[in-house]
Amino acid sequence: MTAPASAITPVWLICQFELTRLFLTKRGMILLAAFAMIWGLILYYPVFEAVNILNNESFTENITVFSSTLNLQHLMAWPYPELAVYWLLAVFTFPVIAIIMTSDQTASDSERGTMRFLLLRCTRNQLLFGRFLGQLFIICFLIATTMLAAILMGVSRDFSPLASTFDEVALVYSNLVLACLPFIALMALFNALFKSSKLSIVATIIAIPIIKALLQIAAYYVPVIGELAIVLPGLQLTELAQISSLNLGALQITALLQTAAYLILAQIVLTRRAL
Amino acid sequence: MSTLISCQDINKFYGSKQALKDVSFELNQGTTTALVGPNGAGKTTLFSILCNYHLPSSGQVSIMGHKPGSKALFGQVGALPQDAQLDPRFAIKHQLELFGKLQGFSQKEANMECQRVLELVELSEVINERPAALSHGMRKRVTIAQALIGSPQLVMLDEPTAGLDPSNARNIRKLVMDLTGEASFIISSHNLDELERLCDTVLMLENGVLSQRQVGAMISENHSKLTLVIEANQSGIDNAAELLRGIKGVTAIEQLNKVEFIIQYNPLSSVNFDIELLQALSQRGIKYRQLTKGLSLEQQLFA
Repeated sequence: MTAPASAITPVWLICQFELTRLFLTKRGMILLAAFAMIWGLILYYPVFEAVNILNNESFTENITVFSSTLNLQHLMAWPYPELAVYWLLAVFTFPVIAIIMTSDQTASDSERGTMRFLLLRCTRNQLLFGRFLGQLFIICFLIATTMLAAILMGVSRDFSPLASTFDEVALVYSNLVLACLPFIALMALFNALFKSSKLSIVATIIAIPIIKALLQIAAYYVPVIGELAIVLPGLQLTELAQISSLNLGALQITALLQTAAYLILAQIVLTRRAL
Repeated sequence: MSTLISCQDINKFYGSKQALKDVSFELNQGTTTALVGPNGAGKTTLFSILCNYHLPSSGQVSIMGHKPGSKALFGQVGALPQDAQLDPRFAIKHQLELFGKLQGFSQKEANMECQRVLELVELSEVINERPAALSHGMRKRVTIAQALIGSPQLVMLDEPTAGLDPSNARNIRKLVMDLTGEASFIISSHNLDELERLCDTVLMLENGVLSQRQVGAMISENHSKLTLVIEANQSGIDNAAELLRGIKGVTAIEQLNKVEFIIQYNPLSSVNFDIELLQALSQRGIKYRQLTKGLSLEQQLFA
């Protein structure tokens, strides 16, 4: 018996295995329970009160995130205020959830030696991309579940605008996935570098602000260096929260490029590293 | 007999420390090879290079004509890496089936293969258990089972019986013996008695330098030597060496310790020397415990 002829098959098999990790393991169930608890509170309080929140005239004028005042006038026109409030909370929450939930892509397998069994049967690239895709699907599933809950809250209040909310649903879902993508890829890279999920989380929390601060200092002397901040994930979230139309703009392309860059770096590290 | 593994001038550095120095060897298909050497000699490094876990600093490695880690070798090479463990969070069945499917089996075939390899290591009953629920020895046997999925042509086992109780160690040795001929084995171990029984070729590493030799009946010096172990509690044991020298055909006696002797004889003058030796021992009242043709592996490697 020889390995499958298609290079995609092992990637898909590994990806499927990752999906079971969320539902069949104790760690996955605990993470899922914590996630459900947090989102239960978010949905029960701010999202449930969305109509009142958006009816507050000062709402769209007073929101400041990371020193940036958000322009959220367009949210007032959304058919479901529940979806608007959900979007505003999810765009800053889900990247953090993505960091925590995807922090163990290859780290513990590498540390334990389980990866050695797998690499007798698939390439390092197949393992890396299989795990990445699996984690991506998990985050997509979580986004879809919470978003559906927010929409159902709106529908239970008023069914009539459901047919006209497709654009907003597509905008929210696609941009939330794009907001999480670079973080999932970054965790793949840090897993390859550090062999520890906890260290990967800490590195993400520490590295992004430190690198941003260093770039700002360097940009004081050489302004063009400040442009390098584009490689850091998350710095574009405040701009992303303000987008009003569904299109593939600079923010989305930046997220895709960041993802590609982190995955390429992870591939380079993983293929050269001793296991 | 075709070449199974070919290594040419393999060097491996960890920083300034050189773990392997110009290691070159060739192994043919169908052989069972021992990889021996003291701790830190480079055995696991060589093992890891053959499995593509480490890359050599320089040199060429070829397994069945392919580079280690090549897709063509998936399913053809099985390995038990030292200290590697299955994921404790998933049932053994779940993990072994994934390995099988990665090797090209369908779900049904992977399930059957999973049961087959667990039967080989006599652990069919733990198929639905998680590794965390098993003892150290059972976990080891399950990881040996994963190395046998798909009946690979080459199986590399790093310390397969370390930590196993004597009964299970014996079962693993029996398993290797039973599969000899169907697969080629490379076994790294400190148990020389075990390797002597299983292997026909020895790769010996010392400070990263390799020597390769045949063992057992295949080496010429073994045709004129016997290793004799006599009972310790018997009268006249102090004169045993002298008594052995007096036996017809004996050309030299080397006493290794109080009870163990290497007897050198002239095979041309005595065709059935071993039978004549046993008769002579009986006549002189010397009780023996073990008579082995040639030198023990320990003697061949370290004497």
